[in-house]
Amino acid sequence: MSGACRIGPEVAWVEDAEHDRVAVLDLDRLDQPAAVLTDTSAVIWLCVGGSSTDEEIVTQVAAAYEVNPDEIREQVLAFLGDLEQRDLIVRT
Amino acid sequence: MLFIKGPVLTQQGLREPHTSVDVDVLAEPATMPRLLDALAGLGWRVAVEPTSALVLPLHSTTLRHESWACELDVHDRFPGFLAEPTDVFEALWDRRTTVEIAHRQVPCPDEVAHGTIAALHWLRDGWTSATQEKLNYLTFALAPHLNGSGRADLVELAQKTGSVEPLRPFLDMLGIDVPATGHDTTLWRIRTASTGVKSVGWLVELRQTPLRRLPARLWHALVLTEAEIRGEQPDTPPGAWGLFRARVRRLRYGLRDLPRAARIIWTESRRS
Repeated sequence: MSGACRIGPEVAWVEDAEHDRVAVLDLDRLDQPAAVLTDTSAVIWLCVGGSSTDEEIVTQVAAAYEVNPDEIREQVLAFLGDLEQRDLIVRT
Repeated sequence: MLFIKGPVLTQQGLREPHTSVDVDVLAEPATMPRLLDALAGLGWRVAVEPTSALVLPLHSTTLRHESWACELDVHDRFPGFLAEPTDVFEALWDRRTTVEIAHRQVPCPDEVAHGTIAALHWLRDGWTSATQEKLNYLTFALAPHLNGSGRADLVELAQKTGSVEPLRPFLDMLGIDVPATGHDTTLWRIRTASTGVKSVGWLVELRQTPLRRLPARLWHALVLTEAEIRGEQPDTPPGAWGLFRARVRRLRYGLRDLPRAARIIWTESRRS
């Protein structure tokens, strides 16, 4: 994985700030239910934001949880890979 | 297709934020069968097949999906717009814009057009303090859009869509005086005067039903379908006995309302 990633062009999503969750829907796959991201996964999604590099996202998530980026890098990158496989984020 | 009411209306600042339980869309009437087929292909099914009588024509199809907590209300017309549904859609489509919902641009009527939809929606159930409150909010929110050509646009839209008389209380609040158009407003007036009086719809329909179809329709008025009965009275216990008692309860309320329903129809029909 390299370069910046951003939310896919055919993705609709809403944030439920009260419950720390995000619902994500791929408009190209309307036969699939919306993915509901909670806790850490919701935080990672929100860090993807407009366009961020993997390292920027790792740094932001680490700052949100006040941990060393090295401790979470692997899990964050794995989750980003999963989002990319589902076409919910794209690489630029 | 235009997204109407709910979060779109809130986003445009025309109503106070609230939690919606459904998503409303207005579709071009000719595309309805295709749209409903496509939605059925995605798992959206008609919630309860409507067979009950209504004062105004059925304006939407309510769909449910097992994976979604909210319903989808697909309109091919909107109560209070008395012109032909196709002409109404065209007039609203001409005034389309977009708002951002879920980080996507969603097509919807502009503020002036959406204001008329909202006003009709709130006026449909007659005049209450809640109606007054919502219309006060709406008139205040619409004010910036009614400068310059805005007022003329609103008048033109009301005339094109046949909603001058249904919108009259709202237009009065805005200080806009428009001559009535030639649309028959009898059913609209019956509808707005009869909120909660369910037998009105049946009386209106049975008065117009041909004699040969009357017995079957009258029988249906008395028993209705099980799905509708259970939809109206969700606490009905399962089984035939529970259903029978729900039907009796519905008939009791219906018969109790009958004199009032007849009076409303008689009064409003005489005014026409």
